[in-house]
Amino acid sequence: MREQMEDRIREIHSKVEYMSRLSAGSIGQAMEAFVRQDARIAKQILAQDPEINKLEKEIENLCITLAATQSPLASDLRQMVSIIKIVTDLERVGDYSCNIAEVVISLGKYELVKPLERLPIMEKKVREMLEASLRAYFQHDIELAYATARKDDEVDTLYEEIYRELLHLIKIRENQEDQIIGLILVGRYLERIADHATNICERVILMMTGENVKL
Amino acid sequence: MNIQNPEIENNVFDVRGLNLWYGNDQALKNINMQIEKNKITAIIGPSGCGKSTFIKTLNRMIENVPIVRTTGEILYHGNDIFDKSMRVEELRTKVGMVFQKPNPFPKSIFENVVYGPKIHGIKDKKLLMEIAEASLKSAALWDEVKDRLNDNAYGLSGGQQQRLCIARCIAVQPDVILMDEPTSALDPIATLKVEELMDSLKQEYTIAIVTHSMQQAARISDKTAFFLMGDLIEYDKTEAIFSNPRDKRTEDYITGRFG
Repeated sequence: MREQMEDRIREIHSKVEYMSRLSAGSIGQAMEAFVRQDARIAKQILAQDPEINKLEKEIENLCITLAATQSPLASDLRQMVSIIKIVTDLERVGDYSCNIAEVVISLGKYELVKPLERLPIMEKKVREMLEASLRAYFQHDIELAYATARKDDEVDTLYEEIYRELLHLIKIRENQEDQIIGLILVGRYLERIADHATNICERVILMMTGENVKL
Repeated sequence: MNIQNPEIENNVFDVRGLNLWYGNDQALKNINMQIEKNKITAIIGPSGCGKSTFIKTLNRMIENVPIVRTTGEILYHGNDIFDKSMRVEELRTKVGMVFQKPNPFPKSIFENVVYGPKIHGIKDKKLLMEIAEASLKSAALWDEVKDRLNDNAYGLSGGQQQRLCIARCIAVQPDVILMDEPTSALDPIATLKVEELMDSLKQEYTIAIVTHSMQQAARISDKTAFFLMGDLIEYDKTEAIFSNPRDKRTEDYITGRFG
């Protein structure tokens, strides 16, 4: 019986791993499309999103079947609940990548109001956070989960700075309003992705310790 | 001595340093545990861990086994049940028991329920009828049997027989009901009925149940004790035991990783 449970958990895990690669990868692609102002790449991201959504449903269904047939308890139960929540986070990450792609498509080609400075830094931090949170999950690393969640403040600060600067610019560059709003939105989406990475860290801690923390 | 300590008042049983041997084999090792009033306490653990021995010790039923020897104390409402002044018959009236296999007497449904009260000297027909009705109602069996109280109890289904045994136990107005795997011989519907019954009975009684079903313990009990090879490994709120046990051995047992 125990083996059946472990087989099922392994099956779920391999799907979560695949979903993680797609979701985390979509951010890099979205930002590449953004930096290059490349609508073609942006459209590819939108085309891939249904695959991420499909995986979320598949993993949820596998978890429901696991609950119905194996009655998981204790750490098995906490792991199952964590997975159900993590795939929701990953699905949202995919959506934010799509949102960024939509901004890229709607802006088309344009002259930047000012060179990008903080957004690429933010993107790097956000991707690192998401990847680290997933590593913490797969490697059952509580320390890494806590350390990763702490980085959310840095991302929030960066977003604050970007937001303030662009808000100031919008007053003096009224004709470039669309672009500036687009940049603010991209910052906002990245900031939200970092929040989901933090959520994943919380799930890891719940799974490992049973503590339901808010980081 | 009248100690106004709410914790003590809420404990029906306070087991202190209980050891039990069958001949030379020690079946219970230094058990310390409180059983709380109006709560359902589940006792889980692999076969041979001492869980049935433990609940049978609570009303000294275990002494029917001749080679048993115990040390330690079991306080029942503050009085040691092993003390010479304790009257065993009275203890077993107050601490009733329901077993794994329904064991009605080969008598009518009515006679089964009033068997205890009759032994206690109640002869009045009207009073016996009242006791039978109240007990069968408490055991959620009345509606199913009220028109055939004089039928033989063996004609009832397994689930009904088990509820009849619970009614028989209730008829002598106990304080505690001990249950040793009361639903292991029942189908899921009958099990559900007995579980619902237990939930309503805990308003008035204190229940301790030995069960092999993790799901049952998780569904019905307030507190769960995990026994292993005669040791009480972990005793905590049921939700804590099944979502986040502290001891690795508890975790391994309830997740099926054992051995």
